[in-house]
Amino acid sequence: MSEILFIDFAEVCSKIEELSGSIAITEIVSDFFKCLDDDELSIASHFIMGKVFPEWSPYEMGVGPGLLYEAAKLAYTVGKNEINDILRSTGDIGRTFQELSKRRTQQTLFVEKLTIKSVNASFVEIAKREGKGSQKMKIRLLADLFLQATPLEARYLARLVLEELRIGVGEGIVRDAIARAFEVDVRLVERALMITNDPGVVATFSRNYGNDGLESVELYPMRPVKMMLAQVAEGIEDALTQIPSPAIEWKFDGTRVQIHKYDGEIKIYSRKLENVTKSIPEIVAVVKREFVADSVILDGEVIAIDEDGKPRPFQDILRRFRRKYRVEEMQNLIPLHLHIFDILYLDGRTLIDLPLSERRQILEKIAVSGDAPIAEHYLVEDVSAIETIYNEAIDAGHEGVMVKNRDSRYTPGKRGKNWLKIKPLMETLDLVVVGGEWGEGRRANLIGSYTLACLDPERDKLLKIGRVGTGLTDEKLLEFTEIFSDLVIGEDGSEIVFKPAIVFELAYEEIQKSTKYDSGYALRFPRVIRLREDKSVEDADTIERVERLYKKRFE
Amino acid sequence: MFKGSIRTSALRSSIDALLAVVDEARFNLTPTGVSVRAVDAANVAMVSLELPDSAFDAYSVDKEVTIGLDLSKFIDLLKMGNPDSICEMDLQDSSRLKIKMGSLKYSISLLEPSTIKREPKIPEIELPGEVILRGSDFRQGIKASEPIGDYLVVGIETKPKEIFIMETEGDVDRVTLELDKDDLFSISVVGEDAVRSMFSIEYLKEISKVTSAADEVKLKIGKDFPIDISFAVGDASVRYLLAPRIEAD
Repeated sequence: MSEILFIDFAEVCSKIEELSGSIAITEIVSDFFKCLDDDELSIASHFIMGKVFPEWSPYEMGVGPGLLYEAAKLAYTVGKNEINDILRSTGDIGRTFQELSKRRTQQTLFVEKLTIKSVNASFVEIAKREGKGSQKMKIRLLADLFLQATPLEARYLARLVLEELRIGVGEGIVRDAIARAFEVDVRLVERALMITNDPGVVATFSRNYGNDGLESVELYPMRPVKMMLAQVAEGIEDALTQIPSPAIEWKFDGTRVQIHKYDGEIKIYSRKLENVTKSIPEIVAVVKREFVADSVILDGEVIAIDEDGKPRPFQDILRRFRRKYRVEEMQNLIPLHLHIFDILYLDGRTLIDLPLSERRQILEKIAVSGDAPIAEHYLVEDVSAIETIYNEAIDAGHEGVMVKNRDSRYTPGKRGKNWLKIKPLMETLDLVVVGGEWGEGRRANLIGSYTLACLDPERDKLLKIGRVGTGLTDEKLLEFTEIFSDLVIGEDGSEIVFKPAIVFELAYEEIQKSTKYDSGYALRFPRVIRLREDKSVEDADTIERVERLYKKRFE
Repeated sequence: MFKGSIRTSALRSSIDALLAVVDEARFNLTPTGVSVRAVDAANVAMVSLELPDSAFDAYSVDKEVTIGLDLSKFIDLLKMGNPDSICEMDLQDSSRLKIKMGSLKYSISLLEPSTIKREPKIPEIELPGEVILRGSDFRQGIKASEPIGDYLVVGIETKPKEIFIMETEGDVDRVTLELDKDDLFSISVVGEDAVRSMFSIEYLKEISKVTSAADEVKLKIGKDFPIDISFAVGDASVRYLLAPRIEAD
């Protein structure tokens, strides 16, 4: 088989972009996968979802729109103004690079076609540049890449570099495409995807070892796996209809952690799967002291408690997680506590396919004493008992309760109906900031309002749902303007388009039907509560939840 | 495998010549000398270096070998030595190089040659125009252009007489350097037409820093074609090929 060129990938992307039906898209992706060798397959399977590296990878591109524009200036010898003009007329960073590439004047001594592998190798080179002088090197390497790219390649290369491919291929399509291409069971593909977090591994495994190979995929300690997520239930009754015999736990007002132990070493990962081990030594010590296991993966929540026993603001925990130097000082200032509620792996055995009740038993068995930081777990089935637990949690300053299906598997990365969260009535939405507008008058140098979108995970799209400008002090506006300045990928007059990266928590009066936004809904009187630094774009609320909240009004 | 001694300053200028285009390169060590050919990642500029055994005070290769060098690291280390010292090199296996400059002794790890971008084939091109000028004049033409714009036109006018020109036009400013036969070592064009090609100053800037030390620099120029820049320092010879810019439409 000859090496697959990057232009082949670009042509697949452009074909997919023309389509809207997921079956047709799946077919194209699956046919494409079949042409690739193992190395190409492991690269293309995350490229096609707009991911430069698989999620567990230690590499990060570290390239935002700012650096990309610098690379364009160098590769195409254009000024920022010319780039902005093209950006304004095309409205898209990909098409902007396509146009720049068409206009380019620098010739090369010989033509060397980009391949999927050579592009990937360049990405690794770029990611490896860190520290002093690295920005300049990254720009140079990016420019070199664009100098070799044809206009169509440049279009998808630019979007890929920013991880903004958005051709409508999400995890679901990749899952189905792998199953179709290599004739394996789609459910096994899904399980393997959840465990490995790496479509490349799953695809090559599917081709080389079939269903048997997929079944044997296991978790590995020290390699983080996505956390299982909960859906919002609209009250206790609602939760009980969905899960009649649940296990109830407090929903702590803290932040999720995943704890790995292997060969005496402990690593702790945050909700975004960043390694935070060094920042929270007391949690490492607790795990070492209180659990007996050679190797284990635990799931839990870390909270900070103030003098009167109430949870401290989330910001305080973040201060701890970010601390890299003089950790002890911070440790005395903001002590942390751990509550473990799940176990995913123990001494060579993957436990996620076991029901929650069995996992819970195993978790309790490895606890050294009654002091082990295991979250309370109540097996109750009536509304009033759950209400009591809920009220206790709220009185203690926590968020509410979790209602979990006792018989359910642990499904990494999935926001399924087996875990439900119940929180006080004031519903908020976590929405992705996709655009903004420069302010007027006194606020002319600030981004005065923000365009918000919810997720459509099926189609890998972001659907706009409204605009917010109130609830922000000048100080906050300034802070946000600085953050968002680095994320600009398009500008049209005073309108700005951002690379979706930031999640706002929004309060609002009500959800209305609307034709103004492509979600079909709009928020009445939205206001920003806070920036959810712990949440990434994939964690934002979905169109499904918006619909559910909307319908609830009429019940 | 290889043993050689050479004046530290001579080795430094050879490495500087390569650094104008690449950060790492493959060195072919043969019984008759050292040769390097490398192209930058964007395939815009190419450099080749010939360092014959006569450039060395002592030179011996018992078996032909290719080694990979991180040039920035290598030059930093050469800067530690006295330029007038003799740099003694000893290669026992292809992964480590021992270097002695006066009382300084290094043992440096080499790059695996296969991890370095492949050696390019030199494209065969016929360039009708040829100019030999002082390295310092070439440098001056480029330095003068830097503040004015991003591109530089290099060419030979034929009418009414042969004149070598370097010209940059910015958005509002323009600078021209003109040298005629009397200012040059030689000038010639095959045929009667003028030749001119445009290049990115970014690349020329780095190259001209190296050529500024040369007494004579030979330029070969075509019409919207790559420029061929060559010069010799002592027994070493260096050649660059740089791809042009061509205005659309």
